[in-house]
Amino acid sequence: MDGRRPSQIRNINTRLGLNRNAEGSCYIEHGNTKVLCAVYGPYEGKASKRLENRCSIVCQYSATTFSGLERKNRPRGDRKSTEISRLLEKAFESVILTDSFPRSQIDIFCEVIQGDGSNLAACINAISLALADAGIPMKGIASAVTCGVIEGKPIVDLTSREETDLLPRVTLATISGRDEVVLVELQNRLHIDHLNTVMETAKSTCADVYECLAVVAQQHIRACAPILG
Amino acid sequence: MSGRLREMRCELAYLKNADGSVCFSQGATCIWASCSGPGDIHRARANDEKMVLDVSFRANTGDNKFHPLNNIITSTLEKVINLQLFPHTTQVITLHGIQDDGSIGAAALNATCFALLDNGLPFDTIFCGVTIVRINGELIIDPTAKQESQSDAKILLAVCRNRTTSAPEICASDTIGDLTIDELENAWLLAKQTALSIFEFYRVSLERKHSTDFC
Amino acid sequence: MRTQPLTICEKTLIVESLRAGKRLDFRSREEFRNVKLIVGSEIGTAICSIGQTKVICAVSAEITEPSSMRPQKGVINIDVDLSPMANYSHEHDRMGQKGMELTRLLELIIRDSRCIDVESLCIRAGKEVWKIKVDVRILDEDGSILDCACLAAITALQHFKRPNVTLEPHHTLVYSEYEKSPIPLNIYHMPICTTIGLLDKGSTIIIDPTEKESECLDGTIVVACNKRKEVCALHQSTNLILTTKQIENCVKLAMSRAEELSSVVIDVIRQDQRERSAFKRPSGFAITSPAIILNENRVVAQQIRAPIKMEIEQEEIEEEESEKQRQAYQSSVIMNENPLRSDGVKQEEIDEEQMIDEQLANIQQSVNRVELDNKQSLDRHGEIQEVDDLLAGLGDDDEEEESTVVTLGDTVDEEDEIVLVAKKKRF
Repeated sequence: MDGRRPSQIRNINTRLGLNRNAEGSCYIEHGNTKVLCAVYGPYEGKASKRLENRCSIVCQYSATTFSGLERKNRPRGDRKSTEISRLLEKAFESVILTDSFPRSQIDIFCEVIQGDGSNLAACINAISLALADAGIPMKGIASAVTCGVIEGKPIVDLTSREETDLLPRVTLATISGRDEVVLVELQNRLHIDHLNTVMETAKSTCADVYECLAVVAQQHIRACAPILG
Repeated sequence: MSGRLREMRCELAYLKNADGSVCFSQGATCIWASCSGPGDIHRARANDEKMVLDVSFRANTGDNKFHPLNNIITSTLEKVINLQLFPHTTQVITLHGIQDDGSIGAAALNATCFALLDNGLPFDTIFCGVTIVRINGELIIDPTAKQESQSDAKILLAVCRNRTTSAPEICASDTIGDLTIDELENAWLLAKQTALSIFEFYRVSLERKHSTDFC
Repeated sequence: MRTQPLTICEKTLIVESLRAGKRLDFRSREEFRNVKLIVGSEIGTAICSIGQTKVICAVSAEITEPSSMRPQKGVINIDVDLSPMANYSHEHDRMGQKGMELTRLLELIIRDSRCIDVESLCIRAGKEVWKIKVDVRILDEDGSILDCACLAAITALQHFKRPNVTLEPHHTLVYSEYEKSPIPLNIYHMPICTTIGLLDKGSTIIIDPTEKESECLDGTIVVACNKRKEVCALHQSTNLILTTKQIENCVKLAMSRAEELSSVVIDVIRQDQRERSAFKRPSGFAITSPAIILNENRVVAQQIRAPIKMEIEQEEIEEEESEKQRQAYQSSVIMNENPLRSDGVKQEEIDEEQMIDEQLANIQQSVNRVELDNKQSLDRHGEIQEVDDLLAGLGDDDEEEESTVVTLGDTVDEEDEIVLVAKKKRF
């Protein structure tokens, strides 16, 4: 609808290292979807959340009141946000090498400043980059994309106008573009014949997104290198 | 004066996860009860001298936070179980009213007793529940839902057994509506007889359950 | 309360046997447990049990104002209650993370997949719509609670009938079930959920894990499909790394399961409809087929005689013996009858009174009620035979057979009663 081809993703803009207080932070734009993410940790954390053999990850997702089409009253704490927070926690528990930090906690804060479709995917990308900025060891950079299917033809990177109730959409997150899926989330009904095509398209697009993210991460680290010595 | 006690059915140890459980039905009223404990409890809520009872009756629909039956069940249990045997612990008793066809309070009390017996908790005396309603000046025990809706007074009695004489005596009661002393006495007479037959049912069911070495 | 943690020995045992393809309950890795589905006597209630997991679901409806964003759509509320009955680590009235996840997944499957037509729930656009409340209560937990809950919920929704309404210029008239029959909900499709466990980084698939097994697994994936070969929801419950191929395999398994279970649900609903149209009040959940015979007991309805303060106790005892054996199942006819006809019922009781021997006045009246019930049960003997055939496999038969044990005293009088009652029923 915005003039892209079905398999074309939107432009990605990123800025890393915005937030001085956080260990790692990232601002990412997928077209008009703008997400800001900050990562704190690993640090000692709360006693109640401490796990003996690995690091616990706490994630908070919130969408600002001006992020959607109409004003939202509760930026955080409502059902949808809690659900997305849990999904992100689960996804990143498998990406981060948690065994290297027993009894510590990593906090991830994610804020959607402008939501224009593929919010979840944008968050995942933002968090991956923020974690890279923080220097937390991971299995790879996780990249995500939301795909839908219309009349058997898959389209990638949906905008909010395309994310209607009638269109089935799958959000897929993979590690480093390989065939390792960390998160899969389906909305609306999808016919089984289309499942295959959608998955394949999503996977290849994730690989593309990963390329972009990897480049960005490398540039940033190179830029930071003189400071770190 | 007479009445009719509906057909009672029970299945003990019905649930896998609870320590003691029963699926109890009286006529078409069906209740599932479970009790777990004595178990550990958070320090803030623990009582150093007695066991804490956590009773909750949950109906099929609606908010479950407060239900009037919780009170009568808790007060009966406090009288019947020696709570001082298990300090720093809790007993969690949950009842689900699966199907309500009248006299659900009595069924709830009976089911609770069954569940606790199934758990094996030491009791001072057993108890049961009887509901009596008054329709047109008649006293009817164990009413169906239709009879209950036509009634103008209702009594729920928790009947337990006296420790020494083993005769039934009232342990707790909950009445709605205006009743004369005579009616209350007649109701109590009816309830006594009913209680005896319910106690008999308890005995027979538990004997059956424990009749083999492995249960 | 804390639950017992799984010991390391148990965990190793389960994991090794799963790798070897064996399970503790003798199933194969790809085998599902048995599903039992019962609908209750109140419309819109259903109990589902998969193995030892038991879930009850109750559906109710009330009228509310719609949200301003969707003025023409009805509202569906899903509420999950994890009680300590299911697992004593839960607490009363507190929904922990598990409960939240369960609620959200059920909302995803039932509400977001749009299996119910919400636009038909609208009464007046912008002012009044039906709010359907789905209450799911988990009664016993042994793995696959989401599957069980989903099945119970869709069965209850299929079973449910909402009251009929007509619109008047200034108000809305809601009819009770005696005036106009209630309308079932408009359901497009039935999403059925399957929990698939994964072990060894996804290389081993375990279907329908029990609770002990789920604690040893790496993770689970939840797939909801319907009969039309559509995937309604796909959700990863725990942190896992999968390949897309594995996901597709899981989806295929779930698809076949969904087809079987859809037909089971439809069967159960149809049987219940048959019963109800024959005016037999379904006993619903009062009947259970006991798993262990010794744990079950039943006692027939008894006549209770209280010692009256007056002295005539000898006669009473004799009467007692003769009526001891009578069963008194709740008469279905009265329940389904229009309450406006209650006068008609009272009439009959007074007639009967004349046929019974002289006793004290109060005893007579309470006995009469019992008599009436007995006549009903005799009359339904014929129907009982028919319905017996229909009720294969639900284990309901025990109840019906018991009801025919009746000691016939005065046959002549009772036959008249049967004729009277039969006439009444033919309306």
